[in-house]
Amino acid sequence: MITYVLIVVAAISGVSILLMKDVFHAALSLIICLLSIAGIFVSFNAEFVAVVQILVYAGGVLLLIIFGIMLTRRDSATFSSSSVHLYTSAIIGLLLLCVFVYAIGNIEPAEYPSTLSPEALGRDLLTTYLVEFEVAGALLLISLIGAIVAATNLKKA
Amino acid sequence: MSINTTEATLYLGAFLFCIGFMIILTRRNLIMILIGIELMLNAANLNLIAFNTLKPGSFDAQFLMLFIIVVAVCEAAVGIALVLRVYHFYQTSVPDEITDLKERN
Repeated sequence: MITYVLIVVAAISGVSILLMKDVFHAALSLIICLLSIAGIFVSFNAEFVAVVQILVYAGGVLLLIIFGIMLTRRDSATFSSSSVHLYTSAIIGLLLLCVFVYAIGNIEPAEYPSTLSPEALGRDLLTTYLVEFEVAGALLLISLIGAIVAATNLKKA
Repeated sequence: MSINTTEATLYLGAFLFCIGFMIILTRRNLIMILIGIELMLNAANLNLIAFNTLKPGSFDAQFLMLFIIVVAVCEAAVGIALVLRVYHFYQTSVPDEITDLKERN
């Protein structure tokens, strides 16, 4: 039952991201959306991913986005000025949604998976998925160094 | 007509993906475009966790979700850094006004 409530909350906050005029309010709606998605993960027995979602998304990425808004905000985020553009994107979005809904209608739903304990997940991560784990770590290091280099002005420093 | 949670989650994933897509198309702000991309990545994660119920006893989706989250963090960090750089150079965060490659002057 609570899963349906979380799904409705996520959908409503997603629509409010689309409709909010201010970027900062949209970022706050994104926090609500991500937290309710983490709750949905818990209801599918993926507790570790839910914790990672809260820590990394609602903690880290949203912090980055809010800092980005505060460092750049001068003009409020209005919608695209041409109404043709707005109508076209609305039509494309609705068509995409129709395609997805049609595709989902052909799926046979199934039962819940058995739960995966965090220690089993950690063991698999460091044995079966060791290469992917190391590549992900290297990617994170390289991209964060790249982000720092891209954001700093090297000539002034 | 009753819908179980798996189907409802699939519909939510499709809905959020379309919302993110429309945010990217309609907004005139670089940060809003990044927010739309994050929403689309989360919709992909929702699809993964829902489709994992079709194969009980397998947990590949959870590992794939962890790696998607890692890549999303990299994308957000580099994206915000590029947005700040572009903002300092052009003094605007409206992508429609950054047209140096399009116009010749």
